[in-house]
Amino acid sequence: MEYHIENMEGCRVVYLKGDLDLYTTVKFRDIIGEEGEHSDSNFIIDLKDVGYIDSCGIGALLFFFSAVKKKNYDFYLTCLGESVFEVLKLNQLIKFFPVSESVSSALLEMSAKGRT
Amino acid sequence: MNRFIDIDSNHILFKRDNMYYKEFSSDYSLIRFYTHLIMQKAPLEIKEELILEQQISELIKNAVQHGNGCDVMKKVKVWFSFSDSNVRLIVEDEGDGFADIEKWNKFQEERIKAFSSCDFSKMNEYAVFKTERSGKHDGGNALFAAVQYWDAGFVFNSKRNSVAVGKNILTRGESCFIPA
Repeated sequence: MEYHIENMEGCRVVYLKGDLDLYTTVKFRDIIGEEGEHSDSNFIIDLKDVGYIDSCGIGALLFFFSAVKKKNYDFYLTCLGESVFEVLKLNQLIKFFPVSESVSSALLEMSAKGRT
Repeated sequence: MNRFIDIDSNHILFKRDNMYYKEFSSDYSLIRFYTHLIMQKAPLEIKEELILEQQISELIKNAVQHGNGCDVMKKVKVWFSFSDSNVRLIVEDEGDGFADIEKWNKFQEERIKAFSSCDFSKMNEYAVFKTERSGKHDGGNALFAAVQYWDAGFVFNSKRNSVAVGKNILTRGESCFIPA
């Protein structure tokens, strides 16, 4: 799994690429743990280039979502592919995570809520 | 659709006739490789079934990690079959069995209510299921998706160390091979 992070309109946007699975989750948790702990900002996790996610990956997203919400910042998942969407739909977490179709639409939604 | 875990060693899903068989050591680093080996037997149209590979991997991971504690001396046994209209697997480990099935089903009952309410704090409370045996990196969410995905049943044997699952693939308007 690869990643890069950009700052956009006061928001940290994490672009992930590859599988978010039982093997890569540890690395992902390290990245986001560091980010969640030290960054005072809203977060967007862009999943456009994530083709495979499993329960460990979803657990890591939940972990990060919870950390961001505790600090009262906003959080969005964007660009869900078909299989990521399907897994989130099956375990009903699609109702739980704030989801937007693109990074720009998530930024607009945050802006509309006065969060950027 | 039954969205709970059943316990029934005599369930039709435990019939092993005409199924392929493979056994693996409980090596965590090879879980996705084992899944690929199983998927090799699937017809092309089944291989394309969205998230099938992921769901099979979750079953093997549960057996390797929670059942056998990643002890490479312990085996995971897998019986499996694929056809144009269905997928069946039986995954058995050498562990003590999933003791918390009743607790999980009760949690699931409350979770369904919480997610029906769309109340964020209630959903947050029921987002993941963890026990004393859960690891730091356990997602705690695999079974919620599994009981939905395996629509022909998700059944443990009475020793609770073997799970049988079935999935109906209804791409051509066929009827289900096992009533859900």
